[in-house]
Amino acid sequence: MGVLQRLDPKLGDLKLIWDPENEDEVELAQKQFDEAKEKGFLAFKVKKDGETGKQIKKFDPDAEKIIMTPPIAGG
Amino acid sequence: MATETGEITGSSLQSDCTITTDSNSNIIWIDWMKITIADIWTSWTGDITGSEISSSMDRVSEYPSIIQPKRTAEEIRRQRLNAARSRGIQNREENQKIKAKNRAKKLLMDLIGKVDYKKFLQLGYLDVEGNSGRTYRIRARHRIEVREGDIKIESLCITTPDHYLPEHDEVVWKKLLVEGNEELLLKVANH
Repeated sequence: MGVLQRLDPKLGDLKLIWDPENEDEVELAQKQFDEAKEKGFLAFKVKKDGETGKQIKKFDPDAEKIIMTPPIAGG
Repeated sequence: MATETGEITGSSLQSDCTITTDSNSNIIWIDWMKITIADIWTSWTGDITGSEISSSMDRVSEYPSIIQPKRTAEEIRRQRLNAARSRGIQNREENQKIKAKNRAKKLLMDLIGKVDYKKFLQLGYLDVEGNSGRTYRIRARHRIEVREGDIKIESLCITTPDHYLPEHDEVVWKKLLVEGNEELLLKVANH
């Protein structure tokens, strides 16, 4: 099972779990991923044990966990 | 009004005062202090004309807070319902904030493990190593410190464009940036 977690300061956190073997669920997760990317969110693939995250540009249906964070700006 | 005039004398009054009495023998002082009734009326009304007085009387209707019709039972019920709804919305927003904070805590704990999470709570910061080998000291609501060994080299300031993240989510966000795209972090941040 994959987990997509979005840190959204406006709408609150969103967590979506998909089964990589279920096409409908994968499609839904991909849709959420793409929508967030369009808004400028950054995506990081992490392992469930918390191993170092890697930034990804495209949705990976086999990822254990994807965390999407808001865009970054200079403070 | 039947009047008669005369002089009065007395130790407390001036002898040249004249008096007038009406039909009921009430004394009306005319020349007392040398002021006539006309003088008193003029002074009392000042420059206000009769029409102005009447228009100012009409203005009472402009103060509905003073003269307010009684609220009906239905209006009272509706007003109480609105107040309760407003309190409900506030409570719901507070609950959402608490839930968001708890979710953020859990996410950070899942990401760094219970031992490191405990250490983070004790120290108030999280040290994360970037690909360059530098260490980034991360605190919520603070600049990121770039360190080489025990020496602080510089600090970076980044933010989200719209709103603040919950504190623990902010730590997750910064950790992922350091680990996942250190170049972008250094490029965008204010040094």
